[in-house]
Amino acid sequence: MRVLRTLIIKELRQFRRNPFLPKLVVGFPLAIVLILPWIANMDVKGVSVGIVDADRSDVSRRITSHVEASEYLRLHDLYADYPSALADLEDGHIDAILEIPNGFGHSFHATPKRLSIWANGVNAMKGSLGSQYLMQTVMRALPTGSAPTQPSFENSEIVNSPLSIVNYYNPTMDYKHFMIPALMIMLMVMVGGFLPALNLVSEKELGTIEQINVTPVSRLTFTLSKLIPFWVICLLELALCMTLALLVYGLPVAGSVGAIFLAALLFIIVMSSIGVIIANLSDTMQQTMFLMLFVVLSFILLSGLMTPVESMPLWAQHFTRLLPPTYMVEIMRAVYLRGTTVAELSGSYLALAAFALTFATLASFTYRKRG
Amino acid sequence: MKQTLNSQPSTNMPSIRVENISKRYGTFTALDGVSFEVERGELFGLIGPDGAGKTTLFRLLTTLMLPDGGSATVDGLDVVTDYKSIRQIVGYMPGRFSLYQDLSVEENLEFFASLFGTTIAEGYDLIAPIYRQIEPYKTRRAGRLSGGMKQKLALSCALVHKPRVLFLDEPTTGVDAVSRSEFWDMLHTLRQHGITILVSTPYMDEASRCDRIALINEGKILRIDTPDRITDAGATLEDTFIRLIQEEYGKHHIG
Repeated sequence: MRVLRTLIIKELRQFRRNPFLPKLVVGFPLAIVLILPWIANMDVKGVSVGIVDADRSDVSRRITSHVEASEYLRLHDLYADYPSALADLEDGHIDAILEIPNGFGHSFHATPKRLSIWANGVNAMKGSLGSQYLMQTVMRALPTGSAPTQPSFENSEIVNSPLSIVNYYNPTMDYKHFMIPALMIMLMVMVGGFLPALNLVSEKELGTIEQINVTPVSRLTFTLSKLIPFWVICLLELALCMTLALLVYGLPVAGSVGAIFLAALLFIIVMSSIGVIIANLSDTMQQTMFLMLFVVLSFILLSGLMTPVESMPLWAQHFTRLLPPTYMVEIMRAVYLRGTTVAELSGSYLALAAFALTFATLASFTYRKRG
Repeated sequence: MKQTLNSQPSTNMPSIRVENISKRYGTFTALDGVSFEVERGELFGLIGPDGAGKTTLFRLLTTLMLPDGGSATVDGLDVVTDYKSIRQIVGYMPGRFSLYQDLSVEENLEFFASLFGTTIAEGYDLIAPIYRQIEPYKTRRAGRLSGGMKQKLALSCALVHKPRVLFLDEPTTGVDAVSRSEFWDMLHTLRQHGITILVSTPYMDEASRCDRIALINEGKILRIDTPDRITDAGATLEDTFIRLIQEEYGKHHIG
């Protein structure tokens, strides 16, 4: 214990004197909560619309003003004819074209003329959501109850049934709320896995490990002295992130805070064990960086952190069950947003615990003090 | 039983005994059947060019590496099986400066003392002649010291736990002539404390300051003796060394 204390004091001194690490460790959680949720956002907003108004009636003007007023749409310009609008669509100035044919307003009560929407589908998400938003806006602009038949659109069908949609667990459908718990996992990956791995291998690269290895210090003690400071930092930062999420976004933990920290502790052990394995296998910081980057990228892309696991091909879905962060993403979102309990998530917690045990064992096997 | 033996080693047992030891890195043979003995309190020099196998030998004796063949003991302890006990009683100064550059002089010394369960104060008598020279700069970061000062700090750190055997791998490489001479004076002072010192150097002029030397080349020991007796009459040590290498080379390629 005395030796471990000495080693940790040394780590903290070095950490404080590092020109870069303290800044990173302060800046990272701030970026995670204050900046990233705004960027890692799948809400489609600001769809740029061009309107070809060949009608110039009260109805077409009302549609135009509704488009202008929508928070999801932005009226780019009014065009005299379709070809000039299409040119702008092709140049990427607008995302969708709404064409109101001549006589649309007048013919409204008799034989309806058709409105047309063309959307740029290169960004599939923006294209489909954008045209849907546009349709809904147009629907709202049309005088209600006055239409015996629904105006029909050329490219798609619209269902205007009197549905009432209520979103549970994320009532405002705010994508930020969905992302924040997952982004906290990024913090654990970085501070719990990446940084200790780099720290460990830096002793190899600088040669200081030689001097340590001829002392009676055991490998376990030495490794723990590298990990414990980062574990503490990581858990403190998680608490900071949770506080910021509450203050800035009004997002409280729906479930128990203890459940979050239990999962975080297990997950940090997994990540730092992976970090230790990689550091043990590499000789330089560069090798560690590349290996860690590979692991971290596959974790982020395959764990459901960014894209839902359900929309992956089936074989990839099976593969994600082999990755620890998949369970962590599940737990974080369920506990944070739905208030699910540890008992209900026992499968995921057990999986994390099993991963922690496996990787910690592997980490201890990969170390050889003598070549 | 072993522990009691260790704490009171018999006086006539050699401090370091190397028997027919060999080490290969892939197809390259770094050490090829090396044998020698170093007496207690002796200042023993390993003299040889770069790549002769000096560092490999140090790494084997300080238990950082396992031999492929042969055996070795340090203070009666086997380097393979008793490595834990060996780490308690040896001091090692690697060829490359390997202290923490971002810790101060005092912090480094304190750190290594503490790892061995001791303090600077307890080891002060032994390190005083060396440490006093850098003590005025004890709050300075190790990375900002000059080469000679770094070397003195490294030696202090290797000595602070009062080791019985001291391994110094090319301690004077990259150090100015005055500091080098001072350094050898310090080694003689340490020898008076009964510490066995195994030191390697590529400089022939330093060999004369050892009690005995071993000339080593391409993983083989060519000769072991006192510096005076090893040197051919009327020649320098360097000339003798080159003659021995050529002889060995001839033997190799004729036979």
